Formats: sequence, structure tokens, C-alpha cells
Amino acid sequence: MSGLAPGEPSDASLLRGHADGDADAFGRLFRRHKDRLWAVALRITCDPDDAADALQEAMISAFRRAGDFRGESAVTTWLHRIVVNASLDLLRRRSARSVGWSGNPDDLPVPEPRQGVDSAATTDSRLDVDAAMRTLPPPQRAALVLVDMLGYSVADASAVLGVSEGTVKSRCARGRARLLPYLSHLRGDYPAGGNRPVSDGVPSEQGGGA
Amino acid sequence: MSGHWPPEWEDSEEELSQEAEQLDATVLAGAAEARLSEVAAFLAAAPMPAMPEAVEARISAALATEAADFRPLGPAPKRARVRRHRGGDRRRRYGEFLRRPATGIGALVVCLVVALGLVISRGSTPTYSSASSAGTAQGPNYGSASSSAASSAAGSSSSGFLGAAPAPAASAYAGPASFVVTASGTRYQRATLAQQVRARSTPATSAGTAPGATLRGCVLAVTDGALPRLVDRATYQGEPAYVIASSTRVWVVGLGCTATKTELVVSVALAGLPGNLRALVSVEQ
Repeated sequence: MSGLAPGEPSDASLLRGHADGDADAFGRLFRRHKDRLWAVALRITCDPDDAADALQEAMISAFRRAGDFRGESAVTTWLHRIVVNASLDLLRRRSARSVGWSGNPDDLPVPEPRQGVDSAATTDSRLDVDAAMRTLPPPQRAALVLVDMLGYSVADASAVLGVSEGTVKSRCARGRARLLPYLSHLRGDYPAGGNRPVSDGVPSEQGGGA
Repeated sequence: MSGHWPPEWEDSEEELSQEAEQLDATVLAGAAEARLSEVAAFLAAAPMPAMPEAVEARISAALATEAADFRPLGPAPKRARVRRHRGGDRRRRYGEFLRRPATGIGALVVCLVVALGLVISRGSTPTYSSASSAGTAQGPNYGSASSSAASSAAGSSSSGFLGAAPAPAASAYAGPASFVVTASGTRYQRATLAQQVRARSTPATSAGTAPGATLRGCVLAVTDGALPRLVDRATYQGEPAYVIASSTRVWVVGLGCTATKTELVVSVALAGLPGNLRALVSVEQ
């Protein structure tokens, strides 16, 4: 808890307080992690409206099921798992809208910028990432979001996704290979660490990578 | 991950780590590892979008509504479950009622069957709002606003669940309508409990008082979210107790019963149901 301000309750304390009837606790927990949870939902669904729907559904589910949390994983892992599941469930329901890809980069759709919803979407880099991620089957997309984009370790991503570490590695490898031709034109210097995960409200140093 | 993927999402062999390793080897052989790392680095460097204010406001509002309507689920009470759902021992708990479309449809069918049975028995035509708009479950632990809302909802629906007032439009939850609590003074006994309950097996929405939020939570926890046929404050084996009955079962709980601590004294099945309840039981089972 050293990353928290003095007197600031841990995620587990907030969740426990919520289960005990503290009306503000869950809202604080949500606000603490909202950006990362939003990123997960947005990257998996590749659509701000779908991400908002999935995240709202996930937060309501977490709100109602707080009493089920047993502390066997970090609260953030539990929350991310709910968000990932909600996002994939939403995509499954809307699978008719999923994009198939012939493998030819010229066939890839380029999403429209989302004015007023996410200003970052106006950047070329963001558009490239969005378009590339849309080409992946959602399970591969979820694995890459957690491991490569958010910096989760394979073990943590395995816990979030509810699959084996081998499956996470496989999905990441498949996803990267599939993205390779699409991103091959991109070059640049990337920060060595990338994005970092948080654990129970504290940024973690454990990096990702399959 | 829950559920089943569409066929195009499936990687049937991926759960097998050995095959996954072979796949990795194949993938890595087909593309330079350094370039795959470059892909990973590109993804890691992608900007992490902040949640838009509009989305935050929307979700905060949804959580506020939730807080007004519910308390969070505590651990499942350790007691015998009455219903078993298809495919195993999935448990329906207070607060989960009607959250899934299939459950909502099932509940609607149950309500319609009950309504039909009562129409036949009374020879009259009911007028009621749809099951999905009747009443709300209340969370007892979220301040005066929710308490007053609970009182208001309970009071407004005291005319019975077939004629319950619509739920507030802001509520996203369509839980069971309200019921009333009678105080018959009946001295229930272990040996004759089922018979005594059957003798009083009138709808719980007949004359009585509206339950408080705590008792309502208790009752819905005991009945797994179903509307009770009877909630009677009386005595059991000489001790003050609430006698709660559905169409198939009767529970006796202590007066201190809450949603998380039901103080269950005894639970017995009801046999020999009144005629207009048989159809209902066949649906519930």
C-alpha cells in the first residue's frame, strides 16, 4: 500500500467497505481505476459506445457481486476480469458485426475518428492501433491488450482471462504475427517499459511480455 | 471466459500447452522474433485513453441508481436450496432476480400463471402493469434516500402485486413486487406446520402491513427472490417467528432475520397444493 496516500484505503478495504454498506466505497474504487478499466474495454471492443456499455455492465456486476470477492487475487485483477468478460460477452452478442480479414493489409477497414468521445482517437498512432486491433479475434485482442498494451505479466493475464498461461502466450503470439504485416510500416522509438499494470491501487513494476 | 465463442473466434487446440508451444515455434519460425517484439513495443507505446467525462458520469449515475436500489450481495447463506436450475446447482440469490433475460421471462410466465389462476378463482379480470415494471427491490444500507424510497414503494404497492404501482423510471432493476405481512397470531407447531400454512394459503398481498426493508430483504433471501404467498408474524413452537411460505415451501425464521442472516428455524415442503396453485408449481419446478 506504499503507493497510496496516507490514510487512503486499499482497494480491498474499499471493496470490503462496500460489501458492509459503505455507499461511497465502490464509487471511489471505480474512480481510482476507471481509466485502466476504460482502456481495457475500449481496446477489446474497439468501439467507444460498446466500451461504455460493457464497462457499465461490468461495474454494475461488480457492484452487486462484491460479496463474492474472496481476496484470492488482487481487486484489480478481479475487476479487470469482470470487464474483460463483459466486453467479450458484448462482442459475442454482436458477433455479426465482427470484422473478418483476408490477410491483405489493403483490405483492412480504418475506423472513423470519434470526435468528442476520445480525443486520442484523432492521432495517427491511435487509428493504426485501432484498425490493427480490430483485425484480431477478440480473445487474441484481449490477451494483447493485457500483456502488451497494459503490461500485465502472462501469469496475471492468465488469471484475468481465466485461461492457462500457455493459452495466453499462444494468443499473444498469434496476435502479434497477425498484426505484423499491418504494422510493418510503422517504425519508431518506443519506451522500454510501455504501460504498467497496477496492483491493488499501486503501480506495479512487473512488466509484461509473453 | 464464459460462454461459447462464435466459430471464427475458436482456437480449439490452444488449451493444449504442448500444441501451443509448437504453434509458437511455427509462428516464430515464420516471422522474425525481433519484429514480433517490435509489434509488442508498438502496442505498449500506444496511448492509453482516459475515460471520457460523459462515460464516467453515465456509469457513476448507474452506480448511484444501483446503490439506491440494492445492497451488494453478501456471501451465499448456508441453507438448503429449494430450486435447482438446469444443468446443476446454480443458485439464484437475492438481487439476482430478473437480471437475466431468461430469468425475467421465466418470472413473467410465473406471474402470468399466478394471475390466470387468481382470475379463475375470483372470476374477475385483473389490471396490472407488466411484471418488468412492478416494484423494486430495496437496499437497506444506503441511507435515508433509499429508505424513504423503500417505504414509498412498499406503501404504493400495498394493494397487491397484481395491481402494483409501476417502479420509478430511474430504476434499472425490475424485481418482484411487494407483499404484505400479516400478524395472525397463529401458534404454528412443527407437526402441523404445513397444514396450518395451507389453511392460510391466501396470497400474501391480502390485508396486512407493508414489510420494512430489512424484512423484505430477509423474505426475498429466503425465497430466492420469489414473491411469498404468506408472511405471517406469529409463533412457532411457542417462540415469536415469521412464517414465510411460497407455493411449494414454508420457512420459519427468527424475528431478527435479515437478508444476510436469515435465522432459519425450519424449512419444509408443502404438499397437496390448492388447485389454482398446481399450474404455478409446475412452472417453478
